Amino acid sequence: MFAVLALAQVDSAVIQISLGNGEATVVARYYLPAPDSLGLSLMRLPGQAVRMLEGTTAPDTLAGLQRVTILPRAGRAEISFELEGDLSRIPIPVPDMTLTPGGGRVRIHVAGVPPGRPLDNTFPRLAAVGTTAAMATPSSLPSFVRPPSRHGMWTTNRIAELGVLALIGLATLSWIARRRSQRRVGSAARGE
Amino acid sequence: MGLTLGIVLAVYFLLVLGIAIASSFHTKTEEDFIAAGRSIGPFVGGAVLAATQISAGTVVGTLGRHYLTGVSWWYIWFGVWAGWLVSAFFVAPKLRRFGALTVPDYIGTRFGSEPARALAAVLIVVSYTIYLVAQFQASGEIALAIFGIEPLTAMLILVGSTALYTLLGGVRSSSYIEFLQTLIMVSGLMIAVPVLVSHAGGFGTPLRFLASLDDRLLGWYYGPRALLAFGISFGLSIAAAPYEMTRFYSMRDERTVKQAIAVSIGFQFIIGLSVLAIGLFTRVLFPNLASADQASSIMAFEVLPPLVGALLIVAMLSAIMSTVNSILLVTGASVAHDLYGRFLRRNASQRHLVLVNRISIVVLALIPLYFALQKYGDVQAIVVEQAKFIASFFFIPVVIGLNWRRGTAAGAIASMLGGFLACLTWELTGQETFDRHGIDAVEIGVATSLVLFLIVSRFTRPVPAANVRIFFPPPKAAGDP
Repeated sequence: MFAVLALAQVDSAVIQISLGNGEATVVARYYLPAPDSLGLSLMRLPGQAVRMLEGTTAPDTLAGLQRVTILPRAGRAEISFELEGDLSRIPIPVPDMTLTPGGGRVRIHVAGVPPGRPLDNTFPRLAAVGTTAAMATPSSLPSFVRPPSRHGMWTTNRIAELGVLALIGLATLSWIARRRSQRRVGSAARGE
Repeated sequence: MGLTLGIVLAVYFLLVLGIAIASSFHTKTEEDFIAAGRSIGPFVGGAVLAATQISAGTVVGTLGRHYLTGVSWWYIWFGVWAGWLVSAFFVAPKLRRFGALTVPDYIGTRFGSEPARALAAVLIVVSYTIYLVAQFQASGEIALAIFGIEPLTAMLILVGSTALYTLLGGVRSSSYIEFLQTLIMVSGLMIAVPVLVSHAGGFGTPLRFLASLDDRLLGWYYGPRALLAFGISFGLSIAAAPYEMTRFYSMRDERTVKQAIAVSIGFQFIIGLSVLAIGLFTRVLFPNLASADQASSIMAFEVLPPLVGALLIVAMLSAIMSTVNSILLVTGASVAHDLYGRFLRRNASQRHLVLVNRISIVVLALIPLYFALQKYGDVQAIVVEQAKFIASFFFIPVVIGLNWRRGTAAGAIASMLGGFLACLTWELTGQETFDRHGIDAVEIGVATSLVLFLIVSRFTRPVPAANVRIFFPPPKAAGDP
């Protein structure tokens, strides 16, 4: 009755994204004990055109994703493609099988980040490598990368963190107010 | 993230410890320890009931189940709320009016039977040991995903810190700590949802993505028949859940209990919706996690901004701690008050009983550790199992027993034992045929319990009138004030 995810596993994955002027190139490599083929799902985002660079089977295009099958060679499977249009989210091909548990098995490199762009609103959480590159090591493969973008001060992340601080402040104030009113009631009861 | 999480965790544990120490000064008698001197109001009471209900099963298990199977699992909440409503109208007011300290107290008094009381106490300890296994396993999953530490170490830290605040102040400290924990859970989950939606780029694209991954994620992964069985398990077990019922005893009066249940359903609605959204959006962001039980911790640690993530991790730990705490209070009281105090040392002093209660809590906290390390199933599956057992042996003697005066001691014993064994037997032998028969273990357990209760009660000696009168007061005559 209770479902389980796929049994075969990918050992590790390295994703390289190069951001250009209105386009991006993605090269994804997966390391795995040689199965016959590797099924991948690629999120389909509106306003985005994907052009496969290396030989794959014809993509099976659904409303929300493309399914692609590639043949691994010598324990390595590779797919690369170019993207045009909306680059606010870069889709990553996610294998049908899970990743072997353990840290450091996924590495995502993003090159061509405009200098000075803040990394606090990225997904997965990117860390700067030099001035124009960034890197992330999430524990599982994400379905897309949200690269650093030009934005104002009020990002969702900042608003959320301010929300937490505001809640803590409110809770503290209401606790102080309650203590004061209890003390007042206590003093009145004692006739002070 | 590491530093922020460390600071938030340190502040949280200091707060919990502070409340526990402050409460310990007010805990002098067994009634203080088990029922907080009957002083809890509706808002704190509602938050406490929600915190007790929302466990690792929700923040790890249910979230993981939404991650894996999508929307349809959400419908089991209707079973949960139906259970709460049954409790509000048919169970809680009568129990609160009775004013006992433990649920076996009710069984013993209602049916005028010490063996029935002892059986209830033993079955509670057995079922809740299973429930504790799920809580400990969840803490191990969180610790492994976030801190990379061994599950056993995490479980020992959880047991130690929870047992400490349970031991210090009993229900009084638990109630105020659980109030705080509910607020943390609700705010943490609610703040997390918009962050995830923002990362995923709104609703349209992510939902299309999910439907393309597996069209059952937004439809019926579980069919109505399976959901009904799960809903029945949760609903019936909540209507007669000893760890919830013990909390009714700590509230001011019957009216407070009903108000608290309404407040609790409100909290649960918000938490349930947030957990659904977080489960679905985590699947969008990370479609292929190795373990669905890790969805909540990976999302908190790797997706949310540090402060929000830290708050959510504290919320998850809070959910586990509050449930572990409630279960320990119930099982500790079952051993100390209902078994030791009734059968081994009848004239034990209040101080002695509180001491035995505290020792029982420590011992009962350590037993499930072994089973949690074996990892018999995912967290939600273990939670469902214990819900089936509680429903099978407790729903009928509690709900029917409180509303049908003809129920007898022999009927209650047959009902508890028969329901438990029927559920256990079906679980061990019949689960594979679920699809063929469309019947779940909980339905077999409850049906067996009901039939035995009605038939055996019909043919055995009625309960003494003095005991029945406590729960079925004679109607007031015309002209009475």
